[in-house]
Amino acid sequence: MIELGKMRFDPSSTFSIFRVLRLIGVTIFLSICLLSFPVMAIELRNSNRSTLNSTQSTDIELFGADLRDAENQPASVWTSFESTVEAIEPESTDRGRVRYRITPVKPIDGIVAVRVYHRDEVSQAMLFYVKDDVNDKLPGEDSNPVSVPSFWDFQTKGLGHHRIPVELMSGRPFVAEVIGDRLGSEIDPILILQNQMGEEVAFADDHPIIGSDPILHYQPSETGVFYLLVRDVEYRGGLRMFLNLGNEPVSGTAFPNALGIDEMRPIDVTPIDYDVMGNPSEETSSNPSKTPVSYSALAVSRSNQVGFTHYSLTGRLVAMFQTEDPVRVEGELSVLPVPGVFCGRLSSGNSEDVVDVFLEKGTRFVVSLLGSRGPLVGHIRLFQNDRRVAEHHWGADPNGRLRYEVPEAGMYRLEIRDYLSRTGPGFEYALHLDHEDVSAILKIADSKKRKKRRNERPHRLAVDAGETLELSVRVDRRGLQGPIRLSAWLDGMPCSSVGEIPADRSDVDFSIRIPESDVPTRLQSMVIRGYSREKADKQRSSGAKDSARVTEIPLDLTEHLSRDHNGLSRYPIGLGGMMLVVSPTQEDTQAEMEQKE
Amino acid sequence: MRNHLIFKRVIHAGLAIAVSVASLLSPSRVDAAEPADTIQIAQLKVYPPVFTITGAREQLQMVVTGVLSDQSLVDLTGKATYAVEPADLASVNDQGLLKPMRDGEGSLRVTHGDVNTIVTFEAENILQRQRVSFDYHTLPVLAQTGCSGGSCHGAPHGKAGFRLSLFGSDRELDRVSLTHQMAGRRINPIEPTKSLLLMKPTGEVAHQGGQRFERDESQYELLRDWIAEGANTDSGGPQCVGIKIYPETGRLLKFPNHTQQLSVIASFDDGSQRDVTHLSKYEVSNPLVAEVNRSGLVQGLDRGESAVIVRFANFIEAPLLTFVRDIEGFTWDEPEEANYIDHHVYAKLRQLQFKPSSLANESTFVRRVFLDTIGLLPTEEELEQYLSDPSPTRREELIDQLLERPEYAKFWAQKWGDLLRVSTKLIGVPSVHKFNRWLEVSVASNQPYDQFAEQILLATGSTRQHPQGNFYRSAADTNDATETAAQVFLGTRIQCAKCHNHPFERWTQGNYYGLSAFFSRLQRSKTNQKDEVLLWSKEDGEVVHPATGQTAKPWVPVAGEIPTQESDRRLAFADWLTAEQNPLFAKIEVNRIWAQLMGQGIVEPFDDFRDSNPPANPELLEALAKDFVASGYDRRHIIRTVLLSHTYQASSDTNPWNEQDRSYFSHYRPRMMTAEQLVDALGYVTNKPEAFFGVPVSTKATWVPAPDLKPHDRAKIGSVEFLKVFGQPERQSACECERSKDVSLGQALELLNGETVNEMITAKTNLVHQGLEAGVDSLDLVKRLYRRALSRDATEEELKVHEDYIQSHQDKAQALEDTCWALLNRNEFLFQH
Repeated sequence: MIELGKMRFDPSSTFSIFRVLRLIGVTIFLSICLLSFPVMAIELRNSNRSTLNSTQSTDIELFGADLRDAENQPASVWTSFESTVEAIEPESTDRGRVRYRITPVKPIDGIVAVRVYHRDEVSQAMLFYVKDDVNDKLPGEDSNPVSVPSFWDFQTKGLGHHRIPVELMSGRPFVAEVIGDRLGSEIDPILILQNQMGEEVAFADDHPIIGSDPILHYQPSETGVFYLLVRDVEYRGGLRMFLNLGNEPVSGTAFPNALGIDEMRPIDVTPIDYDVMGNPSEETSSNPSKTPVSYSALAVSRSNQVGFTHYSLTGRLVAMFQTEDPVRVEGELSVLPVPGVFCGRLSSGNSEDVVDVFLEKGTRFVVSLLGSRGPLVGHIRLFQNDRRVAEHHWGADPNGRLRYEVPEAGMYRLEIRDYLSRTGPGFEYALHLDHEDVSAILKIADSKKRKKRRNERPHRLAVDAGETLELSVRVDRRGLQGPIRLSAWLDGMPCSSVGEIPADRSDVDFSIRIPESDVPTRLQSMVIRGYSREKADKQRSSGAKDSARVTEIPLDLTEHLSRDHNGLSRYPIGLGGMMLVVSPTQEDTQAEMEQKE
Repeated sequence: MRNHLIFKRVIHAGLAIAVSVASLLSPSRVDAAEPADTIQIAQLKVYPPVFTITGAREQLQMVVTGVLSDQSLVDLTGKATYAVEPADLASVNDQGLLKPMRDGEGSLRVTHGDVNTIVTFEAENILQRQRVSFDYHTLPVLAQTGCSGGSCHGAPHGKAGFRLSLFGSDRELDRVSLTHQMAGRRINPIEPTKSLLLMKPTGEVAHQGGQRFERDESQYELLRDWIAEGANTDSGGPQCVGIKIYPETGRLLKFPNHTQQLSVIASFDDGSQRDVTHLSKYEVSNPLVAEVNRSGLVQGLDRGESAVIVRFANFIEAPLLTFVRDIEGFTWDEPEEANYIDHHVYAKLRQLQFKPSSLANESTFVRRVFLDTIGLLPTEEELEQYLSDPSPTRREELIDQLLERPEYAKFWAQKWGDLLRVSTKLIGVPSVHKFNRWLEVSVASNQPYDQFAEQILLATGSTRQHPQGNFYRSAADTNDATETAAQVFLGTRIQCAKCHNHPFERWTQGNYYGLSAFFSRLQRSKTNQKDEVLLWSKEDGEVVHPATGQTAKPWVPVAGEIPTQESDRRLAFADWLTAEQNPLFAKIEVNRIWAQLMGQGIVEPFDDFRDSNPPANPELLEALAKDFVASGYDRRHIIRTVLLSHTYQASSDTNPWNEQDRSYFSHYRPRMMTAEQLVDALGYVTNKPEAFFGVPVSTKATWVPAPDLKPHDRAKIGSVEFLKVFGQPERQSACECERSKDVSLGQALELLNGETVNEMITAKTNLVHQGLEAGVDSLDLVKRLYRRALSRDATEEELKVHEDYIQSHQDKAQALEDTCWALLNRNEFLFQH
């Protein structure tokens, strides 16, 4: 008998409070154990490389979780370009590490994406910079000096610090440059150049144009060995990056920096081999003051997807936007088309760009800045007969836009300047002009109806061919009225789907019929859009001349992508869509296996 | 061994107390000068020489000054005799207070000994009724008697349900509190003497604040009459525009003639003047040196200086008085001056009769200058190199070398990190590293201080591109930016003025919002880039004074309102701040440097500049500031100049003539190493340096960019962090006071048996264990420990003690650990001296 206060208990009694409490305790303990146990899901965490060859095979090692399936087979690989992929060491049982040989079918450039998947899961994407002749064994501090130019592909070691001897020639410009942030690497690097005495002679941190990737410039007055310190600002190890040690950077700026789908246009590419305004390196680096040299290249849009991407033009990596609307630059037209994209640059001496637009009465004129990274804090002012009627600057809200309800038709003047009154290299911009406000967005979440596969995310799903995919779609209306019809495309092909968000609701279960297929399991991209019919004065023109126009509402995956790619502030086209692992039916799989045997 | 050492420490402490007590007795204080009653006066001066008294309630406090043959001055107000002509025109009491009895012109003959002088005065409207002024009688009386003080009803929430504005700064609030609250029961116009406002302070009914005045005092009379007249609160009539104090600042008083009557004359916008000596509130800045009574009579208590803070209405003045005393046996030996610093310090010491200590010996100097410039102890090699250097200029050479070392930049960047609140909690980990790097580069490149301040204050654009912009992330709103900028760059703790006029200074609530008008347009926007904030200025936007509801115009101290055309008003502020004419900017920084090197500012606390907190040596502060401006705001130059001075290089040992000096730099002031210095020193002595989270292993504590790089670990709640125990600030405030300098029991326990020290002493990889393993003789290890910890060789006596102790133990390692422990617990190690 146990005495507890004034009550007496018999522990052997089935109904004793003691037993109940013990049962509750055990239950809580087991629940905690189950919840705290990490549930594995396919995941790409790192790679031994940050670059891929443009035409040749590249052997890469991927690290993560669940990289082999139940039969210990390496996960399949999807690339954002046409390629052949071969698993190396397929017999290995390490589920956290797999090796592949990736060979492009056609030459590739820019920044590309790779995912891995198996029947039940698909990973997030990992980005790679396409560059040839890259070294991967970074020399130690006591090694022979590295030659310039040379390219290096490596990961930061413990505490994120490397000291690399470099032999520099007197009077010859030296550039050290990191590409890491643009690949989604969490590295936040700084570059420090020291002389042989260990004294700092140049320093570079964030670059205003390209974000946290630094570019260090130095022109030595004497030939000799210098030491380049590459350090993660937070002293973390295991972060991948590409390092260019050369005489000029591989990063550049493009003008215009937008290109229409299926458009071909000459582009001015300017290497970032000069300081731009606000670069802190100007205080410590020795920069020759020179006029930037531009190179001209003919650019062709890489895909039919709209959004931000990276091109390699004249060997320089530049940020571009692909758009469905016509692109115009300064001087091409006296009156800009609406909708359209206008590209300009606030170069030295010109603090303000001025262009005209013709606006129709009753429309809502909307100007948004295509979200380029850069020093520009765009300030747009709209004038009618020298009277300012609207303005907006993106310092107050980087995702905001200028909106103006047009009271009367006529010519309006648009003035574009930097809010902080700066100009110079790096102040290129692309403005999207429209005459309606497409601010409503769709979002997705797991559907309660759907039998969820293990650890799948709403934007990374595994389905069977012929299955009906149930998705919960929600709309953030932002003022948009009326019902919204939903449609889906799988790898560009329309799917049979049923889904409409009623006017009085903001969400619905959207059913998408996945087409029958007998091809082996493969990764396909899905596009979901919403359409709304509204009054003409608040709608996007779909080309129809009647008053029944259609507003197109895009799917916004930002909240999911931000969880997948913690290090990225912008999501290039290769990362942006929904990805579905589509498997043939079980019978097909059986046939597939037999075929393999 | 440990018990033995603790016992020894107790003995030493007892001896120290005995010595201190003995020192109080010698040398004797001699008030050799003649008292005023017997001295020969060459001339008498009376203030004010001419005056018109207007109104029945007015009076005039005379101040009589005797001029001696050596031109020194003596206050004779209470010792002179007074005779009014005609006699029925006015009465004068023994303290020189003149009260008119009728209208007319007359003269006052003031006599002391054989010397006399005559002043004239005029009285008018004396027989006419003069109403009590709410603003210039009632409220000053409430301030003077302490009723509206910060500890009484002037507290933010008042006391016992009765709230007044602090020292009458908000007349409207006071009007309502006095005349309307409690259904008007505080005053009783029918029967004024039954008013709570009178019965409470006279003790007729229970009053928690005690008795504030008697019924026969003028304060009572004024309040009673004010109530009897209907508690008039009209604000009509002439408005006060300022007050003037006599004697002016800088009066020197020599014991035994160490009293001084003050006179306070208020000027009004109609050109009239009134004596308000009896209505002003007085406080002293240094109560150890002087005291002051309600009538404005100051009495010296000891050698030194003290400001007397005089407040009337919303006006404050703080004249400085210096008290000197002849000390028996004191002679001035004309010590050699290394530079202008010594000149000014020695002039003050000579005046106050403190004799400076001799120069510190070489090993003390080298230890001190290393700790002050780079935050680290000199290594054995550096010590050896210095001590064996025969150069007569080796001190200068060492200083120059240290100021070029990267550790100097890292150490001083950390000091700035404290002030600018560089912490992960406020700005995130990446920004901590970037901002710290910016500070380090600024120090290393010896960026001129005006540029440094400008770049911080005018930061615009991305905080990733301009890490100094993180200043505005730590100071996350207009009020915070105003207060932080005022404290860091103006040395002014203006926070109080946000809610009420500053209790000790002339800052008003209007000043606060005038200053904040410079920062009100600054905007902070988060961008899509991680850890990036965009700083930009709105083109319009005003600050509204919460009490008046009026738009606050941009205002700065001294210059007043500044008209600005730019949309970003910070430009105007930075222009004014860094202008050579600005009397504050340079002084604040040189004082900060001085405090960091000398352990105490010329103005102390060194970020609290105000008239009521005068500098210990104004001439020195002025000279340093002038040199700073002339050098192009070269901080390294000022540090070097201070380090080269004999004042800095003086021994911390006192002599009989300066052991009482706490303020005038007659000797180096020993102070405990900072938390970071101590951890680095412990690590160096034991050769087991501490590692810190989020930075490379070789990083010293004095280089760590922020105190909170370590992630919050719930499992370690309750565990003691060595750095925190020794005062490392959290960087939540821009006040240097956040770095605790208090000695605590926790510190003693940490040093005696704390985990950090114990691990360093017992680590198998430390100096002792590695040395024993390598076969080094135990006594040689003891010698090395001495050089590392104390920057000197152990004496024969010390070695003998250690040798005996080690020999008596079987376990040499244990004995050496004990030796190391004892050494690390010595004040000689723990203190910078």
